[in-house]
Amino acid sequence: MSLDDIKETFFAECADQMSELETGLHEIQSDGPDMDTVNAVFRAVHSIKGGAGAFGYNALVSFAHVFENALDVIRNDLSQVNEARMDLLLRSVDVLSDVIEAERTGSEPEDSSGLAGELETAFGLGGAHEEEDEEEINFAPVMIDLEAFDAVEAPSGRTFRISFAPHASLYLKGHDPLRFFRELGDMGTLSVTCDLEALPKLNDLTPDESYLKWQIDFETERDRDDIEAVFDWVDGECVLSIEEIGGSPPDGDGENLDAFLQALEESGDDAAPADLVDIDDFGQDPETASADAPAPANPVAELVDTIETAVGANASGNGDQGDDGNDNAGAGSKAEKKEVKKASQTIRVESEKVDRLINLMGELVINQAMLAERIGQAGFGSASPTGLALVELQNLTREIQSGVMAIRAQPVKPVFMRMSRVIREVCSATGKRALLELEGEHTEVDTTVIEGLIDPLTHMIRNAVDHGIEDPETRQARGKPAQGTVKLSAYHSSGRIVIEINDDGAGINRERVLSKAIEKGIVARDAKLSDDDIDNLIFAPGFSTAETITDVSGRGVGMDVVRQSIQALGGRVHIASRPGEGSLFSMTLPLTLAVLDGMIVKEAGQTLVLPVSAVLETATLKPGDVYTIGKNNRVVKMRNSLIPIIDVGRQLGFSERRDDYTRGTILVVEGGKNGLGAFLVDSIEGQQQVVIKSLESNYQRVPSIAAATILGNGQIALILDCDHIVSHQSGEPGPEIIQSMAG
Amino acid sequence: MHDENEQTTIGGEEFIAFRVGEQEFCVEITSTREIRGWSQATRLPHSPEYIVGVINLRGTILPIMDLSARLGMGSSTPSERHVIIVVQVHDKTIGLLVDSVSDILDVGPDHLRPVPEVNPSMSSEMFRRVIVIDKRIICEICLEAIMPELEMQAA
Repeated sequence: MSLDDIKETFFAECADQMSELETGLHEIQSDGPDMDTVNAVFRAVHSIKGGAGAFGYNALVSFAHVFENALDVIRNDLSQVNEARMDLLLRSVDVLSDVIEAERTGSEPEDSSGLAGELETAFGLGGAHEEEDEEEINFAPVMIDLEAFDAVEAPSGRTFRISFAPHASLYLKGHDPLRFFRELGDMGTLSVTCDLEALPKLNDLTPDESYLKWQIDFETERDRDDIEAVFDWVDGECVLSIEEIGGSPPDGDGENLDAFLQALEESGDDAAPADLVDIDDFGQDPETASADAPAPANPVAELVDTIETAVGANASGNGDQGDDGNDNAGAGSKAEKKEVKKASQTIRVESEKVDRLINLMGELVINQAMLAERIGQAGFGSASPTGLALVELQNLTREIQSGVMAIRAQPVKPVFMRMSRVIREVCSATGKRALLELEGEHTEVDTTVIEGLIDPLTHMIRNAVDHGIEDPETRQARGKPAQGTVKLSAYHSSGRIVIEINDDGAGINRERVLSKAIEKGIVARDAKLSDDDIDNLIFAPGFSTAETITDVSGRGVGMDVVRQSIQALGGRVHIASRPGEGSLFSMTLPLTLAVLDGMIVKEAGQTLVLPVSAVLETATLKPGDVYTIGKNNRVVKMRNSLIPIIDVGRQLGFSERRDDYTRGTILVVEGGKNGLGAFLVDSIEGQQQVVIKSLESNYQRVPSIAAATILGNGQIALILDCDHIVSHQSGEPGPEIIQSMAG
Repeated sequence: MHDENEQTTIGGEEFIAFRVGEQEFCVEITSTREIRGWSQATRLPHSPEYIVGVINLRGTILPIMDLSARLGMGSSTPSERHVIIVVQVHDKTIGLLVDSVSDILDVGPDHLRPVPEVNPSMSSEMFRRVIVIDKRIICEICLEAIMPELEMQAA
């Protein structure tokens, strides 16, 4: 594993931590602070800082450090949370992710010291955490409050006995025990004894093994957390025990149990792992951890037992989350959490490997369809043993298919979380106030769909705040809370995912939209449009209501682009607006881009596939249904609307114009900006799931064709690009022009 | 003949030669993936006439190019007797529809000639070199030049 690989892993983990962090802060914001969440958030920042330190990302370390200290204030006293501070913390998340990104790309990180300063001011940081500053001094220049530092010099109060037995891996990673002693030395007085007992004779000595143990008697007025913090970066690389052996706990710590009990509690309630056991991932439960630990000195082993019992007892007892270390329940609930975390293990897999599996899955589906066709041709009935075995196989395939698809399915949460940042940015740019509410963020959908969602969602959220939410004064004047709400929700509905953006802003100003649309020539001056029609005009190409191009929404991308990108994903978008109350954008998208529900049709001797999602209805034509407009434009009258008839075979250049329109079947298809089209085909063959195959991978984009698929007989069928066909339907000059264009 | 044998041993370049109409052409054997018989292709709309359609090559969509039409020698009517040479050009795989495969050649540098200046409007840029062996003249197809998207860009 090269250093670059390790860095990559670090940044992947950073991304996880960031999402944990953001989730946690949102929970705190919406549900109020609770200890577990605060701890989780703190841990996230702490891990980022730790990793960053190892790679020497100084800018990241120093900002994460301030961030961590700010969180620590909350961790020590949950009542310290207030709105302004939360806001600051959320902004810090954005900056932190920027700094991470900058470190990842190797670019110059933006100056984060401004926000770091704000954090320090807001959280009254400075003196209280200098011992950690000291810890970081190797990596980054951090402020040290000398006054407070002096105060530490005078040791008072507590004595800890620390036994520290590094594993060989600690040295491998370049740590030096001496550094820890020095750091401890800065926090108090210590006497270090080296335990040479394990040291073998020179003959038997393996140079890269670790034989030395240290026992440190440490007198300090700091508490256990601070000591643990010193050893934090060697989690899992040493056997560490910290035991308080004397002195009185400082006032105001909220702990009035005796030192030993306190040790027990802290072993559970703090993010740091159990004191006496092999420090490892939080997921590891004390039992295995202690078993892993190379048998330490006897008293320590005894203590392990005690702790296990204590933790176990707590776990079975009170399940409540205790406040910061003032009852044992904290330890109990933590122990349970550890169990839970261990249960949901995840693995990282390159998406290419999953893609390959999905491709093969597609092959399997095709082959199975072929097999079914052959078996049918061979005259085996569905009740024959062969037929039954085939049904069995089909069930199995379907199960495997959904299993494979489930691997790629990811919750929409990361994308949703991203939107909260978008909202914050828009708010700070416009001076409006808005809160993002999430619902159903665990709804799962194929990763390719998720990726395609980011841009349109970002744009719609921006729009919702920029054009939808009013400024605080207006809102209050209208009797709404000054802070607007944008609700982003996702749910599954009949095999598709529905994503909704609901704001409680002003809604769509229909008069303005209509006048704008008329002005831009999008609708006729005398057009009679329903409210719904007017609302959906904002998706028309070339339409943008913002009178002045704002920083926020006016980036040359209109809602039509949003609509197009949603349609490119095989989805549809619709808006419903209630004036004065807000707007609701809803998008329906397929759950995957690898498989499509296809309507199989025959036309001009070719088998073609249409996405079922685009087909609104099918009908056969009667002689009176068809009208001719102009020279050669035929329309069909259906439910009082006139829909242009598109002769698919002719449009694709497969056949000549047909004279008798009543012989075929029409499919009313929703396609793109031009609305509906009545596709005329010879016959409808049926409906089936088809695997989408790209034409571009070996050829190029073909106009009017979205992709291809392989049918059960091994033949390729083309999947029509309905949007393109509807919007490029040519009144008369058809194939010739297209031919010359292509050739 | 003695000459040729010697060239084989000193490692000349290998080509697959095939017939299109009355002429012989070839492609480098290293670009060739497989040779297969004709199977019914699905027509692609709005495509140049030399693209016969697409076939299913073990799950991959393989476009088939009528080489005769591509070289301006008139469209062929695909039949059972035709052969598809599957070639790889960069990251794309494409099938060339030809009349028949005629030979596998191992050619030394002596037999490789530059393409003579013929009518520039003709397809000379589609050839890379000309192989001259005895009385046979075999043009090496420049696969990059015949790929359809390159032509689209040029147009």
